[in-house]
Amino acid sequence: MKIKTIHKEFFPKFEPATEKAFLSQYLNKTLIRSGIIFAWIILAAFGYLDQFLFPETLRTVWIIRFGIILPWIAIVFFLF
Amino acid sequence: LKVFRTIYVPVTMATVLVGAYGITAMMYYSHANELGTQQYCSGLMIIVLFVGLFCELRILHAFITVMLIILGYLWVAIFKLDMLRGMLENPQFPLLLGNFFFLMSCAALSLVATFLIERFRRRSFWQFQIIAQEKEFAETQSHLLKEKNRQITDSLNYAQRIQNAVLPHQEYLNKVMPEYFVLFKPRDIVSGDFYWIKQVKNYLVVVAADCTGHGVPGAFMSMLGISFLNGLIGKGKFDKPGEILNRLRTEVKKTLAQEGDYHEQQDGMEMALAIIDNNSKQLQYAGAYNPLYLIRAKDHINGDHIRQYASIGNKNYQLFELKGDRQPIAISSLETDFATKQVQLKDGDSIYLFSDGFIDQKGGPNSRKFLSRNFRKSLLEIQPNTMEEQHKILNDTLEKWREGFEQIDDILVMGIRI
Repeated sequence: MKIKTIHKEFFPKFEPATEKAFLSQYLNKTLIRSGIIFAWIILAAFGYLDQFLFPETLRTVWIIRFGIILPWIAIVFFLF
Repeated sequence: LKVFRTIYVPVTMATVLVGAYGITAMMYYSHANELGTQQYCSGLMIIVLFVGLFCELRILHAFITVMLIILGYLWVAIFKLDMLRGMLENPQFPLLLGNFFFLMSCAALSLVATFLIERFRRRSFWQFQIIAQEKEFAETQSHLLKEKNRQITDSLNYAQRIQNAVLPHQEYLNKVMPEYFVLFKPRDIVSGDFYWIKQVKNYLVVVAADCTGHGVPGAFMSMLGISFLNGLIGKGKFDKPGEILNRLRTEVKKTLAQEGDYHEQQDGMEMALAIIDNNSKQLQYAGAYNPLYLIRAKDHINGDHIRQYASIGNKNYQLFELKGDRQPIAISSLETDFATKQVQLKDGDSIYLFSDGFIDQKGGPNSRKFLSRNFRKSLLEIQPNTMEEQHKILNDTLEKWREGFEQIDDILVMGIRI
């Protein structure tokens, strides 16, 4: 397999066959799943802060946070 | 995994946008007097950084995602929270401008991180590919080398069979010599050393030769040497050993076209040639470098003639060294006729002809050559033993000496007891 690198370009790319091989192993599933868990925990933890920062619209804020954002992230986690 | 790769980019972008727009929505639905309305822009900054560090998006996708987050925030901040008007009316409190700068800085950091991570992983991938390619190439070469090595070894083994066929057979040696041994150890399957023994009438002609080089070139030379000796001695008539070596040298020079500058033509052989008259026990010897050792029990020594060759001795035995001429069987700078030396043998005498392989073998505790001195001592020590035992002792001595070292040359030692 001939490897042609174009590292010096702003958007680096290999020749098509190598690029395909590279993309097929590019995604690191472990890192992605770790990132999702990390994001989910952080977003959930900020729910505690909501009661001090949004005392009047806490219900709406929690619906958005716990009803939309966190379930969506959980679904994505199990999807990946 | 294929499905994962296909849906990864849109799903990840959608997830990040759900998180970011969720926070923006919290600001949108909150009241202006609530702290979160102004503070939660920090959440967007964290998400923007998160895109660069964890999401494994290509830079273009990361750029689009980050820009959508910032545009979403600006739309809510300007059109819902009225931050632009607030900032213009109160320039001392430029919250929108501050948030925008922080968001853009985070976006820049995030995109740089994305770019560097992808670049780093591309480089790693590229290096891995190169290594894999080189490994594959090395494996192919290794396979080819093994195959070539196998072919060469097969070829050498076959050549060894031919060489063994032209060396004197054991049955013949048993017939012409009552007690003897031949320690013959080629370095590379085929040998540049050879021995040649022939009974002609009542004469026993014994030759130990060391051709230049070893392995295949040495074996070629040895075949030449054997062929010439068959021609010079095999017809029932022969000269004195010195004259035989002279003729042999002429044949070698003629066949190898050795003329002109002798420095450029090193091919040839070193040789010890002895003729023993079985009736009179007279030994005639001539040598090209290679000496002949004669070992005699001290109580059998009489006469002054033999004493001129005396070398070292021990309590019971004396070693006599008949030195060869210092010229090879090949072209050389000072060519003179080979001298023939004559000695009267006695019953019980042992004579040894050899190449320099044993003496030059490196080994021992200090990684040095075995040397002639040790070789002579070894021969003196084994005199009480039979020739068969001597063969074993010499072989064991050699193996012990070169333990852990490679054999550096072909080895030939022949011993004959009179």
